Amino acid sequence: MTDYSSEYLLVQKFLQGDESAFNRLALKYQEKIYWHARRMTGNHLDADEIVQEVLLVMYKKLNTFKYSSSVYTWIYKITSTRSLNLLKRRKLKEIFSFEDRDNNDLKNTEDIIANLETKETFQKLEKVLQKLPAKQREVFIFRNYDQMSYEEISEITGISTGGLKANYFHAMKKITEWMNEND
Amino acid sequence: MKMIDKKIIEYLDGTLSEAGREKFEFELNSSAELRNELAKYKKIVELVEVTKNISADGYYFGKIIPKFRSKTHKRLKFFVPRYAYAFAVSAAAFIITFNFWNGAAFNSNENIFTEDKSYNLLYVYPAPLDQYNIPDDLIAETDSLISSEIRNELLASATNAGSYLQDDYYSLIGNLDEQQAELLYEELLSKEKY
Repeated sequence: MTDYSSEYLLVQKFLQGDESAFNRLALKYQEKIYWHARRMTGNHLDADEIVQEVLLVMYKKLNTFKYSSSVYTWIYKITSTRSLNLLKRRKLKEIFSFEDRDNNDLKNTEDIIANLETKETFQKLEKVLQKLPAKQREVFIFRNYDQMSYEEISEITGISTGGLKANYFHAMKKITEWMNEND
Repeated sequence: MKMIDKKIIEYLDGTLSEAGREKFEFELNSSAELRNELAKYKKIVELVEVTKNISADGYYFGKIIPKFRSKTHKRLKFFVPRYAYAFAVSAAAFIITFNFWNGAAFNSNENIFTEDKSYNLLYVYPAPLDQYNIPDDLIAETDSLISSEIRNELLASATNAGSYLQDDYYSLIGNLDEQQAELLYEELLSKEKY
């Protein structure tokens, strides 16, 4: 259970000039931000870029945080937006570039996953996730990895819970088909 | 098949109602096909569980905040010099442009005659007359004509024209400043003579 009161306190301390409060907030969320971005983008380098972008937005925009939502939701909103923007930029590059589309293979040479067995499974699922449309992938990740309720996901993405459930259904169905094809 | 898939996904997602879950579990017991389909989806759920908590290189996560701090520090350091640099470049561009246009305007006055050139008018203008071997008795008349030409031009342009009415052309030319001499020279040359 997230302790919202301590997070609000950290935000207030940072806004009063305590830089270490920001560091503590960043430390609390950096892994969540990274893994969400990693599963959305499919590679370590893009996820790393997004982490830095999200921290920068947090640093600059915490003074605009309204306390109407939790800090957790606010940070995930930024992460979701940055991830989707990167995917859009990547798609545009693919359209206007004559290079090989599967650039993620090049980016996968750098990775931080320690356990080799888990890494193989992770990369297998990662490849399948990358085949999903961004919105379906996002709901799947929020639901299964970030373990959010549909109401929380709706608050972050702005999509209705009915729409999210439909996206989740399609995502789950496609992943199951593709994974069973590969076996 | 679609409805079965929907029920399976909702069952595994935990979004079926209490009654819906009981009904589904009852159907599971009696349907092998349903159990086979459920097994396929359960594989994905198991894969997700395995990949949920991944052990990653802790060194990487330890570097995230220092990397972020080094970037924000660089942005702050460059902030003031960046504006100073932009101002300096703008000021330099303005000064260069200003001098260029001022220089162009100045250069248009480059044709002002030096003092020597204004006296040269005295020798250049009458010179063509020499080559025609005009008799002496006509030279005076020619001088008078030249004086009259110069005087007419001066009268047309000068503000204190009255001072030029009596003088011969030597005096007329001698009293001109460099700019007047140049203008007079140009005007006379452009006219058709006798």
